[in-house]
Amino acid sequence: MATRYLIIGNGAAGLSCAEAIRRRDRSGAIAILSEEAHGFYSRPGLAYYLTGTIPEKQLFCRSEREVRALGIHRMHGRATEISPSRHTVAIASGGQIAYDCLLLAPGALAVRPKAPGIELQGVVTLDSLNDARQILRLARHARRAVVVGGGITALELAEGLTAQGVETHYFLRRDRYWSGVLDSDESRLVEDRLEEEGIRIHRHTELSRVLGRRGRVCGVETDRGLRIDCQILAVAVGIRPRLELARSAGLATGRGIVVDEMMRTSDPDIFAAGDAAEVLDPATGSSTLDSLWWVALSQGRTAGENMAGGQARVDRGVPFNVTRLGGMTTTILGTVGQPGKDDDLVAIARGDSSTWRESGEVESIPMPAFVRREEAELAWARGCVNQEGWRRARGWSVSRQRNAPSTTPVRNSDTGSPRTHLHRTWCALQAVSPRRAASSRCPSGGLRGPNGVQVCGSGQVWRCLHRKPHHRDRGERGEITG
Amino acid sequence: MLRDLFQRETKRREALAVAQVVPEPIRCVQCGICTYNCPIAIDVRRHAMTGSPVLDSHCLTCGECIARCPRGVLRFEAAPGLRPQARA
Repeated sequence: MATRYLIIGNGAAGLSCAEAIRRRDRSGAIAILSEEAHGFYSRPGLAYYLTGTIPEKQLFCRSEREVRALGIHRMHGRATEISPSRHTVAIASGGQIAYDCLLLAPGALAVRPKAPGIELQGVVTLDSLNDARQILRLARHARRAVVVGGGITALELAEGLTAQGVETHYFLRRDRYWSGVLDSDESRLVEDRLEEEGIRIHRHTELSRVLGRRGRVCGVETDRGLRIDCQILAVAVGIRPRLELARSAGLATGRGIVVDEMMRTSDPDIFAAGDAAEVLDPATGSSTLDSLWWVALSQGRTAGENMAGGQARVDRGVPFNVTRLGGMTTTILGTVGQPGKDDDLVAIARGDSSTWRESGEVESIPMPAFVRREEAELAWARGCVNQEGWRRARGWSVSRQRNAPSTTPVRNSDTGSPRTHLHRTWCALQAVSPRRAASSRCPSGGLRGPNGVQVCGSGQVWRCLHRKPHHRDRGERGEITG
Repeated sequence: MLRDLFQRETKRREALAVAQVVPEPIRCVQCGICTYNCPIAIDVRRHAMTGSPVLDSHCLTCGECIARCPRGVLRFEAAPGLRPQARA
């Protein structure tokens, strides 16, 4: 009799597990039980759906036909309880599904802050496609929105709402964005970008109360007593793995569902993967809980191979992520969010688990093979240019790869004026061709730093010999020498 | 200055002519922006998922997918067997 595989969860881990099982076992019956009515989609892509970069149909990366061709049966329903002894899963609509081997990949849900009124209609999170649809539906009639949270998802929400034409206010608990990860210059770059997009940033501000009228959000009140009328409150203060099913089955749980390197839980026939899986390393005794897309894919694949009789082990490697912060592509390496060191830990749990800031730090991190050295070096410089400059820089990537200059992150001490951005663009583009830097002129006329010294994107110090602050104002051109 | 500009553009075009789009699947979150922006509707995302270079003969190497990808998944690489011709 063919083995019955049941997968709970329709995310990256669930689908990669199903595909891995099918590669090893051509006859087994594979079923995916999902609470979502639609097929597999790109969860990180929701940010681009919110901004209108892509239409909804583009999010679906596997067609129903492809899934069926693999012999994967998709079921819509919510699992309520697992009975490991009888090898059955109870579903909310009634009935039970029998399994021989089970994967739990329920993912994680956004945490809602404890504030009065947080249950009102109009308080949104970004967990799933349905959430994104709801946000877009609300944005059609909303005039103003408030975003709370310190991580990447909060930024995605703020940018998405702004792109939909909603006046967006963004609450930062501290004096700057993501202070646990970025340094002050980097935070300011991101904040400058957000403000340019029209997002209003409120620093040292926390949500204290959600105001409602007839069951709907009509405003928020901050800890300083400021009241802002709004129709949408978007919260992204962290995520929490969904553990209720694992607990109902009596599986070992900690912060997540505890699994070994083979993604096996405390029950030999039940595996777990994805955002909800806490991988225990027997060598060190430490456990890790990642919420990255490629980690979920890798864990799902490992679980699938082992469910079908393999002996695969998950290799976590160096945490790595590339993301957009305020429209700037940023490469992040290494682990961040160490308990005790980072008060914003819950806020940065989704999306990123790692960072690099200084090229010196990059040197000390064991570099995974897939990170190109010049990219790590240039990532920040590239992020500093505007969209057009960035595109042009990417277009030159072929010639750049040969003679990529040694660069360090930008340390500009200027403010985020348009001229600054022009200068940053120039700096980053000059990093591509350093020889030209000595002979060409910055289109902005250059910026006067402390003592006339300007730190450019190339990481080299160029002395700006400006007698006048700006050539466009004074009709003179600045001169830059090495 | 102007000559430098043209030289750079010429070099870029030459590089494009012998390049192919190569993905790094580990960076990809399958958002589909690359496929959506491809002017001739090549399913670049599928290549990014499998890690195979975009060897579609219709690919213009226009760089649109590379420029639009928010996560730096795609890059140009010289296609094996194709090298820019040496100029006299």
